[in-house]
Amino acid sequence: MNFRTKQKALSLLTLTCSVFLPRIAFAVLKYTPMEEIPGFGRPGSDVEYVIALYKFGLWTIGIAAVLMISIGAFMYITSAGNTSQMGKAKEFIFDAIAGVILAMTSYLLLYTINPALVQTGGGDYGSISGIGGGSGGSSGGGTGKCEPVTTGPCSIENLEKTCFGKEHAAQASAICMGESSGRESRESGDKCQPEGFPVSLGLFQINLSAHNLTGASCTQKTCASTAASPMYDKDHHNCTKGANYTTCVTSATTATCNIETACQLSSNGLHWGAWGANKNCGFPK
Amino acid sequence: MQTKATKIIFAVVGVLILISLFYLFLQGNKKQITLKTSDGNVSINNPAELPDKKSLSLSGVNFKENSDYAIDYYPEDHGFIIAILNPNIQVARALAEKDFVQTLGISQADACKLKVSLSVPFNINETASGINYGLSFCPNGKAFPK
Repeated sequence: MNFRTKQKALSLLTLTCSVFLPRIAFAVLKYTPMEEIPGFGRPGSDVEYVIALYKFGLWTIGIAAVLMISIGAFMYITSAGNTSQMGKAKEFIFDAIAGVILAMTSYLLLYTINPALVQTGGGDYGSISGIGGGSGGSSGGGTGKCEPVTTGPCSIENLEKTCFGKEHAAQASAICMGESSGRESRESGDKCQPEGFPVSLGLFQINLSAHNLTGASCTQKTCASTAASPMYDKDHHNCTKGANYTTCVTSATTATCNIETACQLSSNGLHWGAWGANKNCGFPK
Repeated sequence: MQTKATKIIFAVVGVLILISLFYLFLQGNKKQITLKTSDGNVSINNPAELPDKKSLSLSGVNFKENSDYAIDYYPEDHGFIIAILNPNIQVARALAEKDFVQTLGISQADACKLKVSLSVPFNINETASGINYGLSFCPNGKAFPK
């Protein structure tokens, strides 16, 4: 084997290893990616990681191309008839355009094969679903009457990225399923009398007469007694609207705010006694 | 010299316009979308283009809501949530399922290929809450408890 053949074989081996070893590591060791990809967060599986890397590459190519075309155009304008500089400027521009066309072609090819491959977010990767795996799992410790939400902000996949983490996401998802069916705009049957306005709202049906909202995404946080008072509970249904009611409703029906508040109220998913739906789940109180 | 410079500038602007058009073409509003599922492709009326839709987090849309049921769609994983909101859960479920297939313009067989969560909130019916019943006409559909 001559040097060139050895070099080729070594390159091929390196390429093969770089493609398949991470995959084996992900699959066998259930490795969770530790490093975030700028602009795409921390993907949950190897498939999502590769796709996020690809999308990051696309953005990089786009930005670099615009920059290189601008530099090339500037060089051309300022070449003052210098043919070598004009040639260099043209090279800059044509290389950048070729790069963009190549990137767009690859995008179009992947889009034609399966649009989910280039869409933002998780996605149903259809034909390559066998690769990814997914979290699945049961709601844990339940009575079989307590299933998790399969899509949207209360899905296990989404709640794993919140303060509930991987450990408590399944239980949180199941409570959310029981309370609101996983619907962020859900208004409860808990209605203040005699006016009849809803007092528990959102994914985890936060009782606005009893709790303040917490979390960075909550535009209105002070709600207890200022949204509705006196406090609504199973024995006391008479309450009147407070000054902050409308803004509290808006915040409570915002998914991230509701999740963050539920996180705080449940001590990051350790105690679920305050939720009625836990009757069916039997999670720690 | 100036003509060449103008040409280059036009070329740059042209490329930028092409990229924008390409992006718009891919992201453009479509009345119909095709969802890839493990059981094959299903073409549905785009929930994001339906009248009375309301935007939700994660690019989701609520495209049906009345006193009997509400239906949300999340494009990230092509998932649907159907929540039964009427204490007469049997009747509300039948109405919701009928509206679901009609609004999306699909057959029952195609509806069964979709990822649909149909459930009842705790304060509507304590004993029926907490379970994903699916669509009653699908093989994985479950009946409400009696």
